[in-house]
Amino acid sequence: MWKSLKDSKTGLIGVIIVLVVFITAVTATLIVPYDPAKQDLVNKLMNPVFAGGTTKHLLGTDQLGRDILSRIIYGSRVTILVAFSGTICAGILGITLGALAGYYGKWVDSVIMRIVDIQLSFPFVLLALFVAAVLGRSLRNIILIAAISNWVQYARLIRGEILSVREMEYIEAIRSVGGKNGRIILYHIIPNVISPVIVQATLGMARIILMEASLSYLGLGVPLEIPTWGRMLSDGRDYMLTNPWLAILPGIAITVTVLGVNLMGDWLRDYLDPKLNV
Amino acid sequence: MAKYLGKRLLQSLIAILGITIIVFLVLNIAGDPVALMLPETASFEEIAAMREKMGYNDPIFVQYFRFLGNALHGDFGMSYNYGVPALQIVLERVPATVTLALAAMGISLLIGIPAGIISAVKRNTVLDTVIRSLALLGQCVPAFWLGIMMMLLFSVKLKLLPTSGFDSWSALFMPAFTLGVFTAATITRMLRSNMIEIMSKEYIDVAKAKGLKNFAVVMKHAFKNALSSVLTVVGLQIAGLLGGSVITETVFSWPGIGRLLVQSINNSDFMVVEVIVILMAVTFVVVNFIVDVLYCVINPRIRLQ
Repeated sequence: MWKSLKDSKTGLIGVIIVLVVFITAVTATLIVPYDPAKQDLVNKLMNPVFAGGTTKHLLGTDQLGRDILSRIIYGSRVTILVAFSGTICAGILGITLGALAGYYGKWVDSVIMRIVDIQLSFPFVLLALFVAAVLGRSLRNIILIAAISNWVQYARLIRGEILSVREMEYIEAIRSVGGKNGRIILYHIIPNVISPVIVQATLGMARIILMEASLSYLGLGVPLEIPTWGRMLSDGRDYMLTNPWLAILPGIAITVTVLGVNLMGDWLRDYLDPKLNV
Repeated sequence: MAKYLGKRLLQSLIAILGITIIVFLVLNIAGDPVALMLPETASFEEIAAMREKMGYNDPIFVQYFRFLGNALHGDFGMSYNYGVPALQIVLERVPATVTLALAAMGISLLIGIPAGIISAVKRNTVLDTVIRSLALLGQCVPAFWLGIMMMLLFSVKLKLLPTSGFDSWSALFMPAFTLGVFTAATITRMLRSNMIEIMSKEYIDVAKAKGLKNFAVVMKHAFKNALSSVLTVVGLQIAGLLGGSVITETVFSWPGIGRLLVQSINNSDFMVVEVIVILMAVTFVVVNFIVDVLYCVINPRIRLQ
């Protein structure tokens, strides 16, 4: 695995980006230079150090004098938390439903696949907006939205794989020695399909990060007092003419993170599933 | 083929029905619309009387079928904010969104198809690397940020294009480009990998051996076969475009249904939200049904199955 990563430059870049963002998020409270909520109206709207600012605030300050670097560091926590928990919840939901549909077939399959159809006919953002509007703003709801709008891919993947292995001899063999259904799914089918699931999870994570940022931008993300990149960007928009960095910096943070996750996903796909590689 | 299409039609209808059920249930959970319709000073009795009059005391499935019946007649109730039928408010905004979505789709095809073909034909050259990097970047950039950055560059710095507005081609360009970038990137990546796969097939070697010009081989033999993949992407991306229009329209103050949706959510104007969600979802189902029909038309292999 390490050798494959070393050979793939883009994969290595992706993994490094993801690791840096992850570590930043985990250690945020230790590494922030300022309290991200602390206002300092005397020093408001300062430019970053590379655009005429001071080294006191490396990335400048916002309209309330809050330190941008600290806010970006804190913003990574929501991004990482939502991306990981959303992906895990979506994965568990999708794998369970997909396994049920594929293994039991018949009406179970029909019902679940119709739900999948309905789910797929809701545009992603629309569904997220709709749920956010109805359930209100909270971190838990954002994770819930991420899970409901992403489980379908896993369900389809698992169902398809199960359909193709269900009738294979090794499954029949386990069944003939008395293996229970749950055990067959958990120990003999899922391990066979875990690679595409991991690839799907990485690509899904990139989507969730963009979704969270979009919802925050629209004011439908996590509660307003928690700093997020999307929220910072939408606040910064009002100062676009005088202080464009307020909108530029959080956007770079989002883009680089999503890029890192996607690069990692592409590498994982090549590594885990060479037959998909074109 | 008729059997297949019949099955797909049935599936589409079930999906649409499911959507109406979900929308109805979610809005039911969302809270009591009566409290929103009456002034804050309304007494408890007045609210109770209004509830009875509006039929909110009926069993939920009775309410659902009434909702469905009314919806089939185009009656989605009144907008709390505007005081006119919700459907009317939404339909007034539809042309703006359709214009934007079509322009975005046009731009993404115009960029995606040539980029995908060139990238596949010139595989592993500098040009290919550049195209692939840009396509990857296009899938990573959040649309709202790209929109703001374009405004900064084209409107604020270069003063070439207006930041918002709805009345000219120049006003359409930035929103359409912003909305189309993700789709363009997706088409490019999909078409590239498909073209590469097809270019390694034997019939391509045959075409080359016949002495056909490279251009003819690529366009007539390879691209024609890769076209169905583009069509699939287009069908699936319609959802992305409709969803993306919510964000792009908000960024550029474009007067379409996406921006109306965000405004209505913020104003708790649930009747309008309901109409927009159902309209977008139904559009998506219908477009994908059409894509499947077209699929049969352009790909005889599916027709024969």
